[in-house]
Amino acid sequence: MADRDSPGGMQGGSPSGGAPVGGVGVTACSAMLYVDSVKAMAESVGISNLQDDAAKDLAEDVTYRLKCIIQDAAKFMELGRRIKLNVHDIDHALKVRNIEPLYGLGGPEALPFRFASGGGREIHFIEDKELELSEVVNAPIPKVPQDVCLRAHWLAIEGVQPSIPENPPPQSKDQQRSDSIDPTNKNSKGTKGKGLGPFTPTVGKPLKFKTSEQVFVKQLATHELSVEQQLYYKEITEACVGSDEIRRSEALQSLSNDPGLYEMLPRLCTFIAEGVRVNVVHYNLALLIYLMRMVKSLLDNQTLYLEKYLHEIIPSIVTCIVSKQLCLRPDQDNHWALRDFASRLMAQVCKNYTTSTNNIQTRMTKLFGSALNNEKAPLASVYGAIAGLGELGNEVVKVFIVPMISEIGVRVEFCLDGVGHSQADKTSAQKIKALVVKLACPILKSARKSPDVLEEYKSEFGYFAASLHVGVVALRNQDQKAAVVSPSVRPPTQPIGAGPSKGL
Amino acid sequence: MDSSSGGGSNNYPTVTVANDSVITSVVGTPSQQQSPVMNNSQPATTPPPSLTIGGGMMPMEVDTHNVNHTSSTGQGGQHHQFPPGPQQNTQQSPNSSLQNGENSSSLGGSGSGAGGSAELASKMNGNAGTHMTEAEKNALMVVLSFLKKHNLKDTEESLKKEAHIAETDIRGSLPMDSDVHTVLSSYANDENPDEYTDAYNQLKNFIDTSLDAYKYEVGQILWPVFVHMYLELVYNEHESQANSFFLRFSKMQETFHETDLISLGSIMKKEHLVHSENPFRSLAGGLYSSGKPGSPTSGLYVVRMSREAQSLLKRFLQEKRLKLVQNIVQDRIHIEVYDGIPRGKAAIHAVAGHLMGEALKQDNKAKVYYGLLREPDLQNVQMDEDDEEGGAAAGTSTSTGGNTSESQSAPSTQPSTSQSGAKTDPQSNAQGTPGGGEKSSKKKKSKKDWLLSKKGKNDPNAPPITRMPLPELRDVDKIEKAKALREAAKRVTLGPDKMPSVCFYTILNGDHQVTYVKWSEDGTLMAIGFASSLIKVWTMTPAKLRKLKPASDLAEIDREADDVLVRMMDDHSAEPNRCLRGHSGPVYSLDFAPDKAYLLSSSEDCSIRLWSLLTWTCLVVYKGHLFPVWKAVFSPHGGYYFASAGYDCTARLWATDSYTALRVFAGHYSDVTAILFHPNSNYIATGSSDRSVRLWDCVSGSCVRLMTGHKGTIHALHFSADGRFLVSSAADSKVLVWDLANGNLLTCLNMHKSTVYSLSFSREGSVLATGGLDYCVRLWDFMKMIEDVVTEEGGATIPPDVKKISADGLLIGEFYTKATPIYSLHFTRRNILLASGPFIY
Repeated sequence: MADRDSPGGMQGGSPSGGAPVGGVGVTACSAMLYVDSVKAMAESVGISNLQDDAAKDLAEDVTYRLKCIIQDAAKFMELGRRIKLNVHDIDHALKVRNIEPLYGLGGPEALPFRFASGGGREIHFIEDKELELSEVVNAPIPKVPQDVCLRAHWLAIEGVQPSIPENPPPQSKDQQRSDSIDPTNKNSKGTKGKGLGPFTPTVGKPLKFKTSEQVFVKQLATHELSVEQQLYYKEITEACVGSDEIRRSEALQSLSNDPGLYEMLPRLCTFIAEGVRVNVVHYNLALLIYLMRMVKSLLDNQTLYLEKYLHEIIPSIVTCIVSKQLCLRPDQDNHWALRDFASRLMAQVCKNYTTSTNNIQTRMTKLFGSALNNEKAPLASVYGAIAGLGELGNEVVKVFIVPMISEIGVRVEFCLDGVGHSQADKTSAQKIKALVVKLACPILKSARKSPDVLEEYKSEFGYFAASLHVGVVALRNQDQKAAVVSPSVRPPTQPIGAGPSKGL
Repeated sequence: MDSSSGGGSNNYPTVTVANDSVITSVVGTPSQQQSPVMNNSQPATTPPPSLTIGGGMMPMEVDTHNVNHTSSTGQGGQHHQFPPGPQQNTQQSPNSSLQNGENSSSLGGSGSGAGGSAELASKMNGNAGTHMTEAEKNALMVVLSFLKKHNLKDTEESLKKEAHIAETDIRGSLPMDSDVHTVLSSYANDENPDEYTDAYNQLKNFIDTSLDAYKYEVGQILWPVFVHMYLELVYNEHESQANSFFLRFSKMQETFHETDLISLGSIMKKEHLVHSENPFRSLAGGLYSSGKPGSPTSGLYVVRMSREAQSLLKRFLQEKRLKLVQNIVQDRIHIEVYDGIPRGKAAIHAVAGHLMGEALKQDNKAKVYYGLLREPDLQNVQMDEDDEEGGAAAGTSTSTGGNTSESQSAPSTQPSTSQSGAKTDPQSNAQGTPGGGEKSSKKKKSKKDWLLSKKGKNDPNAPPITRMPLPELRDVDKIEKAKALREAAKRVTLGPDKMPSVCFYTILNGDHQVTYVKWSEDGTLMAIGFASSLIKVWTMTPAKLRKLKPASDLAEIDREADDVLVRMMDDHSAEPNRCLRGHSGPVYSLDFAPDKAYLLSSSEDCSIRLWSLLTWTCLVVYKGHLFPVWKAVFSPHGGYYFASAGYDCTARLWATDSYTALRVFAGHYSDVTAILFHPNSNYIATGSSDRSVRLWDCVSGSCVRLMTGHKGTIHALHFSADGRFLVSSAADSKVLVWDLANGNLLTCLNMHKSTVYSLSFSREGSVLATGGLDYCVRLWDFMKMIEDVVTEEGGATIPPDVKKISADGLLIGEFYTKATPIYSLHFTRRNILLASGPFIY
């Protein structure tokens, strides 16, 4: 119903109440054309001094007629089996009344109603550009629209809906979410939704159980996968960790788009968890990256709600962030990329699934914080912890990293300037330095007032002071320049790291 | 073709071949017989400017007759001829008397006056010059008033002369345009406008505080009293009081009156009320009437209540001396009293919603022969049919479409667990050697015999076979029926334990243009109507859609050849889908003739078109409706009759070989949006946006059932397999099941969340499938729904209680699509459910 008042014949008019959204009569009764708009329209056709009374009468009458037409147009919409009123419906309603339709108002779907105010008047209008005729004539012919075609699929086979891309996912994301919050909910719903199977009781029964206060016995979930699903699982897992990059990207694509994965989710998550556990011991960097990409795909899949499997996913991700060694040759291999990538995944998990009950974000921050505080932690882990915290947002960086800068600095300095440290440690130290500067500069810039005095930095941040100072000053200069050029465009504050695959 | 000429072994539908040659000779005769007046009076398509102003006198007479189509159906012997003489007369007399009643009542809304003129036309075709009946006279008057209004003096004069009408006859004999004023003037009074609020408030308080047992029964009068009080205030130009009255009390009305309230609220001035374009004028005039036009209750809002409740109300009105309320209750509400226990809230809500209140008991008194006609004896046909099959098998497999459809309808992704019926579809019949085919057909014969014997029993509720003149079965029909029977033997019997497979055909790139989808009875063809006025027909089988060869080539074909059917068709024209162009507005409905040779379409351009699916051209344009035609359907018997329903509040019964409608069913108070033939073709069910479902007798033309309970425009109707139950679905997202034996509401299925546009029964009638805009196909256990009714047989006199109305435990399946509303559902002969709709993006 909300659509009924929208496009069509009310050019320039402004319905005062807007469309009556589900309201009973009352709104319909009060929706009127403004007297002002009637006057505005009169002016536009050259009647400069329309009497107030006349304008009021006109407004009332026009409103009434418009309502009649719109209600008739709604009929055409309904019989045309749509829920959106379109311009043609109005045309047909006019035609039925023997009024000539308003030509030239037809157009693409859903005309946007623009709103403008000025000079004390508020007006809704439809943008109507003036077109250059020659441009229209000389424009290349638009593409021929696709022809109507049919596509068949099984919506149900003997009462069971197959999980194929054409069908909606067996359990919607909302349902998955409510299930994970309240498992009893699932039981009652489960019987209701799956009352389709041949031998399940009808809908009426579970309700009766409830009233007689019978205890719900949690149904044993059947985790039986169909043959197709088993094949799919095999194919996908093989492709994801195999050597064929093209197949892998296809498999990942499927994981991130396929709507029917809900039932396979436990297996896939176990696969990932097990894979990480084994490969982290063998320092198999490539496989770890592949597995993380699988996690990424699952996270991206709009039809999946992963909360129930976080206990498997999170440890895997965290492992990839803070593990002390992820590859055979830490001095050469780019395990930093994996840590960065996993950190971003962690941030995504936190963003999507943190609730007041599971506190994922808090727990993760604590975990990374403790890694950072641990004197004995290897530098690689420290790097991971910083990266993990860095992805969680500026506030986290401010609270957890900035106070630690001088302490980190001590370690890094010790490592870089001292002797007897391996090449790997030195690289780690440099990476940490770069990362800290990258994360801390924007924070310091906003937290501290200019001018930036190097001495103050030194007393506060120790080893990193010089680089931080340079960084902050550079940022400030950049800002000033940007302000001169265009006030609105801001330099990107989020560091954009290289994807893990590039490093390999 | 008539059956005598087509005897022998090679029976083929020569219909269209003959048509081509005959048409030219047939054309012209009907139009030449037209009187000159009728020819002059009307510019064919565009409605004259007065149409909407003419009030109750919609000049429907600007009818079909002067349309000079060069393409008409073959009239000479091609189709079944209705026995013309006496038949015509017996049919018309009841109808015209009905029309008389309507005209004189002058309350019947815009539907009145329609029929008389149509009658006139057919009479004029036949026996012009004889004595005029009352109906004809009325029609003439309408024409005259139309001419007068438009200052067409010469025509007026000549018409008067020709019809021997004196000026004096005209006066008084015609309900003039001013009748609206006279009806409305009853609203005029000089009451204090401020008293209304108080009076209504008192009434409301009285009802709220009365005993729960009577509360809801008495509460029924709140709505009509509210409406009439508001209109009275508006009519007497107390605008501000009217507005505050409306604002104050509209919120207290039942939620299902919402759309009415929006309509009502837009009437804010006296001018609006009398305004000729006001669609709600009838609200005040005659909309609130029930039953048959002309009956004593016409024009009144009907409320049914128990004796106790009524006496309670009576006492209250007498005590309080609320003159305002009293007047309305007396003049504008008809209270039907019954003895029994007062009904509860749910029971009242279940039947509320109709614009005119509830149906009266007497509306549903008439006997309805809801039984099925005896199935024709197909024993003889089987031999023919076997021959036919053999012949077809020798050639290509065009005629085995019915068989192949089942396997083809399964999409390529057909999983291994698909329905056994579909999988084990033996194609051997069509492809095997003729010898093998014979063998298997013999085996089947025994099965068929069993089926025949079952169906052969006479239904006690069936109408006499001669009640309605039906076309005799042609050989083509018999073959088709025999084929259907054979298929039926293979079907899976459905039920809660045996669920159907649903095959969904998504229409892609439909772009909000798809308006209607229709399957042929055997599921081999699918037609889609578009808002762009296009019709597209798809074949679901590998047999492509071919065109008939041009006449010159047809002449060269050896008529005696076995494969003449195949030879007739032009192989170069084979295409998987074909377009039919001709309409000039959105196509709102489509229907296949039972033999799949014709397609019927109705459109916004006010016309109904009959298309040939052999030549793929338009054969006839039926122009009877002057406003958009919402629905057109074929009769299940032979595709001779068809019915249409439109914006003009009428439903019409037609025959394919006549330009004019045979019947005009007037009585709905708003658009007729759904229409369907009863399986025995004797009745037509209609649904309307006045939220009532009516059942009309095709023979007498009268309304025999009035069923109220929907709260929105009715969009789909379906009869149960045994013909006793009617299922209707509406924009209120409810599906209601009615018992035609007494017109009672059986069940309300209210699980849908949006408009339900499609209904279908499984072939044996045990499962009902519904689907609509909420992207969901739902399956219901129909046997459970009706088990109480069928067993008790006596038929309860009181409407069913609440428990029965609820839909608990009836839903046996629901299948969501991603984002495809369901426009069409159809069970194939083997009970695979076909569903279809356009993907919305």
